[in-house]
Amino acid sequence: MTKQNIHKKHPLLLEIKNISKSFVSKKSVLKAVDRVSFNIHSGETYSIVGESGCGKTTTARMVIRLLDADKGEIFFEGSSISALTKQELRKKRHKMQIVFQNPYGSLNPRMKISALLAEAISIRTEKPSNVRAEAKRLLQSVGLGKENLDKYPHQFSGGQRQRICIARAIATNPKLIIYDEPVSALDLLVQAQVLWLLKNLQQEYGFAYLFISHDLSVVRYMSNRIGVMYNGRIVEEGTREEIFGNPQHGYTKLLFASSPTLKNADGFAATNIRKSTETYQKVLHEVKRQSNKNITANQTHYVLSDY
Amino acid sequence: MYNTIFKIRKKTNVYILTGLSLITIVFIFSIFGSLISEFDPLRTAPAMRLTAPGSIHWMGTDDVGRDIFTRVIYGIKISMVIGFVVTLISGIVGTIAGISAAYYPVTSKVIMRIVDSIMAFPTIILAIVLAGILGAGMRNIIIALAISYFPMIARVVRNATAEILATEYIESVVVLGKSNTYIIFRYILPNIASPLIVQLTYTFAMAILNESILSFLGVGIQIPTPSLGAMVSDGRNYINTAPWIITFPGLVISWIVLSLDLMGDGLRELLDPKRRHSKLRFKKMAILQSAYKATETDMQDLLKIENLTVVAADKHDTHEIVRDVSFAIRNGETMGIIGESGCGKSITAMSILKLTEPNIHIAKGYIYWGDICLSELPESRLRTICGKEIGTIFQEPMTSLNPVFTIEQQLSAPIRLHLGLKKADIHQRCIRLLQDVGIKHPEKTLKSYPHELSGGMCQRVVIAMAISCDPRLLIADEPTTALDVTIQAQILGILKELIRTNHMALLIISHDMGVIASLSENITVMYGGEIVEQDTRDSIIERAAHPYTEKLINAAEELYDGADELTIVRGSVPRPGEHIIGCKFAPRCTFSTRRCHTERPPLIRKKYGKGTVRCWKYI
Repeated sequence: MTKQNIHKKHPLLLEIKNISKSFVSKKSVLKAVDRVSFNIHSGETYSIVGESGCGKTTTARMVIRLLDADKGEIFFEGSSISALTKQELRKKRHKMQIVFQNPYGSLNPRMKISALLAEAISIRTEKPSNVRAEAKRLLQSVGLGKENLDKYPHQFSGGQRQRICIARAIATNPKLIIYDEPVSALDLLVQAQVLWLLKNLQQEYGFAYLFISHDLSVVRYMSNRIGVMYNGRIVEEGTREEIFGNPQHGYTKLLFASSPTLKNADGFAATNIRKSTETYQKVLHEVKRQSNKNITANQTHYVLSDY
Repeated sequence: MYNTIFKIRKKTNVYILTGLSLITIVFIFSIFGSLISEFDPLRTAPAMRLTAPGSIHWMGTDDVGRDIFTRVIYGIKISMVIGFVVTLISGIVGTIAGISAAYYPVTSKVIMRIVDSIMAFPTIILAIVLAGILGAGMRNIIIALAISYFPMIARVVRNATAEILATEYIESVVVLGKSNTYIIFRYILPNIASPLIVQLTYTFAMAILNESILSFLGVGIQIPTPSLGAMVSDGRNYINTAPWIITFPGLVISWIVLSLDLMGDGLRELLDPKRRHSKLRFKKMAILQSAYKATETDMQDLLKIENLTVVAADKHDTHEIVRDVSFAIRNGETMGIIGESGCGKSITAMSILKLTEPNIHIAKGYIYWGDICLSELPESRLRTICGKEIGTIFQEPMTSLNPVFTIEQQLSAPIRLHLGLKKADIHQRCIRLLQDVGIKHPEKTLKSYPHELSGGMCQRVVIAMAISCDPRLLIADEPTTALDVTIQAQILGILKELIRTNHMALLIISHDMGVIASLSENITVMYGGEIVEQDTRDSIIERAAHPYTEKLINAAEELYDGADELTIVRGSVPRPGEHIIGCKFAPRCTFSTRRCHTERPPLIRKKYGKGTVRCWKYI
């Protein structure tokens, strides 16, 4: 119910319609993303959860046009961005930003933090009068002191670098920020800090998030709605409560069964011996065969299936 | 640009210093030399021909009586000008060609074909041919040399640029919608500066050397202009009667080229830290697989670590990265070490078998394997002792396997060494091992190469290798961190079953509380290189005593249980080498008192149970 209220209040921001992407090598064709569709409303967090190679990162890169989709269309604020030329796209870039997984590789090692932030601020439509003061404000909003402005990236820890990446992403005043595994390279306690920061920033500025992760617990904390992805397809989509409270698809259930927690610690590994390995493979095999028919569990909950 | 590069590592480099001072001497001579010498480099004095070096003619005179010292000084000038201009032209052309080749795939094909075909000729031959076609003279030599050298630069630049284009920081600036020109000047050029500068230094040296060769061959600088190469050429006829004519210019050429090469070598070392650490993991694996049949020990503790302190040394100083760590593992027991990155958990495990990087070594403490003291053994004996008894699994399955051998070759090697089985028996054992780790088609897998298998499959093979000789202890360092959750669940299940059926002891290291909890009976919590708490799994999870353990467990539980609010622990782990006098966790701890900041708490026994904790709260 609360979900639908959100829909009424917030307009549709991003609309993905049946996008596909294949990578062709000499020997084979790999369908990385296969007929994926989803919507993101402004101010909400939509997460794609799945394992390596499921196509979640490829999807994210197509949304921000670091890759071009083979088929399908992407609408941002009502207009199609899949057909934009590079020049037209450049003008829209500031509305959509991305934060990558590896905090050690996403900052130019030869630039000071102030320059890295100024660079992002400079693409805003309305430029602030004092760029350095604005950079200072951005750093503070991600929990770093102004004394850090004249440092180089290598002087920071992984968690701090990820904060700088986030400051850079919000510096352009975007509508949508894509996070590609933003905390999976970070330690547990630092993870909590960064996730908490992301939620706070969202509440303060009203960003929409597209959140990509393999980690169910992180996704659970962050998301309003979740798409579970396997083998290039979104096999199940629903609100957080629907996915976690009432998982329908075999693969979603498998993912839940695979995550160790502290409570099931004793039984966990014991139940996952060879017998269940075979069931896993059976489930995974079935998922691969499924067609493009969506069955609706309820208004917001979809499951990919062939029955 | 130069400034930022040199700031990175301030250490003065002996090659650069030597090279720089040598070339400065040459420079000073070429600039001020003409003031000292009163001779004209071109004026002939037949009366003075072939005078030996003396007080008037310091380097003697040549066959027409010209002063060699003066001519050498002018020769240096010409060489330097040629070297500089050639480097400048080939540098600019090469950089433009290299960057455009990396940037635009279509251009790349055209440019790289041209570059390849030029590089197919030996540089000097090409330069001779070009100089021959263009005719002698300074301008033509420069053109010929620039054409010969720009391909090498283009290639270096293209490779460096391609490497940078693949990084995430390039994507993050593309997303900002910045133009290509901006990206090239702000991102590409500063980041390719190091390899480029090194290459330019070599080009400078080679240009000077090759100018000399061309002039020597008569297609270079024309007589009577004093060029070092032309002077060597002249002197060749008098090598027996007047050796000084050839000696001095020759020495100067060697001097210049040597000093520039030294500078190049120094720069390469200074700017490229990657060159030093290139040890591959599978080399370390090989160490573990050497033959030895250990005697049975009936000591209760299988592995015992006592007051282990490990230090890391760099050029400036040494600092403790593991301090005063003690624990014991009994036969068949499982121990998990948990901690965040940099807490010393992996270093502790690696130290057991001395697999740490060469600059890291044990400063204090002992490691016992039964009644053998591993930490005192020379490395050669350690290898023979550990081969069979301790199996190891590392995080990255791909780097633990050798890509050029089949799975069967790699799996059977330790079995043959340690167990001395017959060929057919070895094959049977390999098949059984693969079945044990849950591989469905062992025959097929045995014939495969590592790259043909998925990450999960590779990790299974690595586990099979680790247990191939029935070790009594398995050390697993983040065995599932690189794997997907569904695969992780399977691997954890396999490990659990293997431990039970083979009665192996396990030392597992992980940052993931769920992984540690599902496999270990006892848990050691490390923070900042120290043990902060040690107890049974249930005590740690349900009644964590140390504030850090408590925060860690709490954070894990909140995430696993889907809490709406996360409790935030401010600050970050201490950096290795950061000096903290009191408790290492005190700066982040909500309970810390003044004592916590000034005095280091000892590890004390808990009031209830067998566990230990390092916190002033309990004293």
